[in-house]
Amino acid sequence: MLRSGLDVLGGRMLWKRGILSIAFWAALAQVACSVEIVDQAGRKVSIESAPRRIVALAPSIAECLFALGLDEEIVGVTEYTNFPPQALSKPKVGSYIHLQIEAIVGLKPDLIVATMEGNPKSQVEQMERLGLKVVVTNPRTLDDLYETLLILGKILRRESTAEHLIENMRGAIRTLSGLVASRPKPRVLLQVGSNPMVVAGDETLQDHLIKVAGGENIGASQGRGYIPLSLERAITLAPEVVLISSMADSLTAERVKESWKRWPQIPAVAGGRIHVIDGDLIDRPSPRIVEGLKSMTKMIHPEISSLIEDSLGEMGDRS
Amino acid sequence: MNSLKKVPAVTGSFVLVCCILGAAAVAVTILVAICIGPTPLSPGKMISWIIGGEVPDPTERTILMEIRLPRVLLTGLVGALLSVCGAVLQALLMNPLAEPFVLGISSGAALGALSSMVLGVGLWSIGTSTAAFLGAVGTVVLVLALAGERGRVNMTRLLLTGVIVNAFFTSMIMLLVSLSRTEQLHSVLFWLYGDLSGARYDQIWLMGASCMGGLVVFFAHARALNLMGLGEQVAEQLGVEVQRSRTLLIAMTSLLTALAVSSSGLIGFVGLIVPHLMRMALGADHRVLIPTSALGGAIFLIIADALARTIVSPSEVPVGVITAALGAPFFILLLRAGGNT
Amino acid sequence: MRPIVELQGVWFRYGREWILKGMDLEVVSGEILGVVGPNASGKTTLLGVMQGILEPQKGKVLLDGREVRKLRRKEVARQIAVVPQDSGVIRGFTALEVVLMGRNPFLGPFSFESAEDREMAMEALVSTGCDHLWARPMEKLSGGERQRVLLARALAQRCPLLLLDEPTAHLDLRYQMEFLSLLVALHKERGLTIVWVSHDLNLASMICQRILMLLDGKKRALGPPREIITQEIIWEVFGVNAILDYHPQTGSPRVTPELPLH
Repeated sequence: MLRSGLDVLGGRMLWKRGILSIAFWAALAQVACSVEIVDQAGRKVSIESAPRRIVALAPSIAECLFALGLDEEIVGVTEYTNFPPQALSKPKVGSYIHLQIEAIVGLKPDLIVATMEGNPKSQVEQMERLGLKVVVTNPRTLDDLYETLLILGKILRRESTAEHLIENMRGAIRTLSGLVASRPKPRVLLQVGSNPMVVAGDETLQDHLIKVAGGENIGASQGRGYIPLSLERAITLAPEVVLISSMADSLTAERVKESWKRWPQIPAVAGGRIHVIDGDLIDRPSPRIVEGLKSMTKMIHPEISSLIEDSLGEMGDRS
Repeated sequence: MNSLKKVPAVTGSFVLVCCILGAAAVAVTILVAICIGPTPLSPGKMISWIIGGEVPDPTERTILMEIRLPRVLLTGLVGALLSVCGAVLQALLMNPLAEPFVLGISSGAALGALSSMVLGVGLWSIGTSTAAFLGAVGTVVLVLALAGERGRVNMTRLLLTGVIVNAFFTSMIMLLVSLSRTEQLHSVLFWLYGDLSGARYDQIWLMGASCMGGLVVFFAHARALNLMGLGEQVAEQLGVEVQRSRTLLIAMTSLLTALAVSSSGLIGFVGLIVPHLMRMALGADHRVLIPTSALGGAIFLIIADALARTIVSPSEVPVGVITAALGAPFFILLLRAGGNT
Repeated sequence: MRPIVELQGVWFRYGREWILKGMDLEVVSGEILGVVGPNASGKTTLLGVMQGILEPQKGKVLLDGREVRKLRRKEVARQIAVVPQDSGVIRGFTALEVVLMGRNPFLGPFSFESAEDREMAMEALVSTGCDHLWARPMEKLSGGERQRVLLARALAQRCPLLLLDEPTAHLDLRYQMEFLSLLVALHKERGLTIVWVSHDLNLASMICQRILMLLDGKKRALGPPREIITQEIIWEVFGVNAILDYHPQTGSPRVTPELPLH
């Protein structure tokens, strides 16, 4: 097929023919060549050829894959995978904390991307025993997330896309950090659960985001991970800004926001600085985290809100 | 009494007939259950694979052999173990409300498993099964130690001690649940209500062997159990070494139940209801009750599990929810229809 | 001839209080021995000790010359059959199945009852006049019928020694008399040794060859009814005055206690 194409181009294109054939074989080689990576659980995985049927075992992973330009290749996602809109029509394989192994096998995947934060280890091991190819990610911080994207990029033979994506994200974050660098850090509390109230503590993704957004996460003083907090404690901690992750639905979040207003002695309530923030944007380690970070920064530093919008507006469009 | 048992006295052939019919019923149930799931596999296809030697599609083969079949087999074994242990305990403790978890096994196993889940490293904790097994066995030893007196164990006291230890450990479990992170809660709850999805063949061999061993031991004591139901003294008068038999049987039921629970989490009702159903239908002779409880338990749980994985597909309902939802009303209906146990 | 059961210096207690105090007793093979005494005199305990179910703290119990506590329960069950007090409804078994339980001491762990065992069971039911009840569930039997089935069970055991613990206590008069005459007939036919705990002195007197009178865990008197049943002993053991005469049919001593008038 290629030969006849080159014939059409004619002899003048001889040197172009040479380059084209080299390019062709290089591309073929890249696709045909086995890629070996070490995933974020420390496992060595080798992928023979670009995967064509991928199952994403968490909404955040699905978002990463879509962001890397895949769509048709994604054949299965977990419940609550809702972005981008194309994801809604993908077959579901259970929830990320309780997968339907049979449904996964039935989709005949050649790659499964799992996350350490959520997917049960026993189920991942079960899938491996069944001979399925699993790559495990563990994006706990922004740096981890960049690594995740690089690994996925390498596996999917879309390294340049991945690098581009990461560069944009880094750029946006640099800009935000720059804008908030010299500003005073308000005391921020980020609530991720109600009944009982659970806040983001130290070493969580959200804690990291708050720091980048130029706030002081007072949840970090309460311990690592996600901490249940009593109302009393919350009042004593006197946050200046309270962020409520939208959790299950916006109705719950609004109700939670109203319930905070019963305590005007809290600075955040007095100052009217209780905000609901889209949980999908700040709980999921995916490229959209930049948007979440943007919203968060605007909530923590409303005084530079328009500045943020101007600086990042373009960057948002670019990625 | 509505009874299927038409012979005036149990004989070897009666037991054999019951076993053969029961085994056939189990085989049919297994066949039907492996056809059920998100990917439909028709029984016709299945039979043509087994008989005709037609080669199945590799994906279908994987689903069938590596996912559904082990799960159904494991379910059957767990159901059999729980039911037969329930039957034996009901006789030993002379209490129709006895069931395999009554001596503290349920809370002990749960405490073990949940401790490893919640206090371990997130959801990647290793050895939940082992922790559950150790928790179960440890609790039974504790209960026996507390209830025993100069080497003899009074059955009423044993039962009461079991109930109290269960209550105490349950409060510890609630404490663990309150301390667990939101992401862990789902797994925790699933384990508490029964989770058969991780079936592996090595588990199945172990359980199969234990089940056979258990059935042999229980059957050898079947007549003794009949006699013990008439009273400790009467049994001794008729030649039963009551203390020795009890110790052995309690140890056996505890180990087997602990094994079942460590593989599948807590699945209630099976061990309580199935023996009663068998007793209503076939009488109280344990030479019949022991094999038929095992077979009936297998069937009951396989059906419950098939429902558990289909009614809210692609999600799953924990199988313990189905056993309770099915078992309780069914049992009440039967009680009212005049079955006496 | 060696006594079938021998108690030598037996002391037994459950908690703090001694129930049996230094009991010496020989049960002669082939006799009908009645055990009589007021409540808490140790009658039931005595039976328990004889079977080896209760282990005395002091003293020895010999069954056919061998110490009972060294014997396995099955061995004891082949020598001693017991008809317990009526303990209420038995569920889930037919009369035949209950009688077949009496063959347990002769069966191994995996074996079922043989045709011979069934024959023996049916024979026992015939002896007790219950053969028409063989296929009936136990729940459907009256108290009298139930006691007779339990007796049939004991008979199916084919033991030389039969112990009965107040077997007629809850039976009405007719069944009481029927039961007693049954016992006498069996004793004559099979040469059984029968030890029988009774609340009713007169009943014991009617059929027993010897009566053991217990008082406060000790042997107060042992001998044929005519020797034992005296006004003196009755007063000592039971604390009542009694009018003595003789049963018009059997000639055995009969006690009619006086009402204490104030």
